[in-house]
Amino acid sequence: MPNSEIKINPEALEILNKIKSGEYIKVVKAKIAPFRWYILGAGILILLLLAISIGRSISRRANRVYAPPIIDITTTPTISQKASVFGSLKRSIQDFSTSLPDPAIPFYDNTINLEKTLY
Amino acid sequence: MKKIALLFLLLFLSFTPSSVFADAKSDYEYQLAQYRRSYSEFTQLKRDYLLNPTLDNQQKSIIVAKQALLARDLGKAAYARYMADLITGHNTNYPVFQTILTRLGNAITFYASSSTKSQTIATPEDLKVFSEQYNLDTIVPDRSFYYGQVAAKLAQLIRFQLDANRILESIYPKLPDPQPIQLKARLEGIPLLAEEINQKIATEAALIIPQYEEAPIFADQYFTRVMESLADIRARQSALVDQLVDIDVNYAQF
Repeated sequence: MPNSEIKINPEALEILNKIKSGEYIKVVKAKIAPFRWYILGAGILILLLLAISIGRSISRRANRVYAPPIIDITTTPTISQKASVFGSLKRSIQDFSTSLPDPAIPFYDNTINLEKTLY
Repeated sequence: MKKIALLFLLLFLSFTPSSVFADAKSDYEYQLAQYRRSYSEFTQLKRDYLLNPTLDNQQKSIIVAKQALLARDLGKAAYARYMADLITGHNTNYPVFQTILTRLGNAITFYASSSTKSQTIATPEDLKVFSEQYNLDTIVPDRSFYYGQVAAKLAQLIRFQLDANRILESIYPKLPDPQPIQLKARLEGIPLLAEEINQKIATEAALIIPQYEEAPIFADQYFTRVMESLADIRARQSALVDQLVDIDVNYAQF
């Protein structure tokens, strides 16, 4: 037996022959056949999830629009005004009435008598 | 025992006249209402008496006239007390007001005396003589009402001055040290403004009692001049307080 002759494992040769003849594929197909609808469903679901994920990322990019500032709206600045201790005095002066007489001087008859007078 | 004592206390309080707690203003309002009621009644009875001068109508008229005289003098006295109360209520202790308070006090004495004297009237002739004399004697006491009116207003303005000074003194320790130039200038201006106002008040107070007191007082003239002066003083005080508010808000520290 010459040295150059290749020694092949008989078991590997058997597998190789099965692959060449297509017998091995048939075995695999036979094993998968009962689960084919599940595998198909899972595939479709994965495709859907991928499509949603891609679509969302595209929509986020599309919505990234910067609105210009509205210059018409003027916000009044809030100034913290300290209440003055003179506040009540200021109000009292403002409320001070300069009108006279205050209260009115009532009319009293200084000439009460029983004489005839013109009414 | 305690319950009985409490019951007696409640009964005592319920029968105590409300006038015990009355102030000068409510007393004056009550006396004025009394006068208006009795004077209205007197006017009606006088008309009846003049239309039908019977002895009965005469006596009825005299009785009601005496009630009206009493109510009038009590009303005037209450009004004078009310004026005095308005002046002293501001706690100014302004020396000029003492003269006005004395006048009001004299007026109260006169009205009290007159209210007693009027109750001795018995005939229409007595009433006539009494009223003729009263009409002359009441001129000076009645004028105290005018003086009291002005004094009460000035007392209020003086109170504003005193309050402004008191509050300013309270914020002095809160001002920064050293004081900024602007603040220093404002603080130096405050006494000048205050002095101007004080002078105006003093001038007006000196004019409360006219130089010729015997001359008749015309209410419109007398009060119009004072009202103009009061408005001027108020405007100056308002400007002064505005400056004080500015100092307080911008410089006083907590």
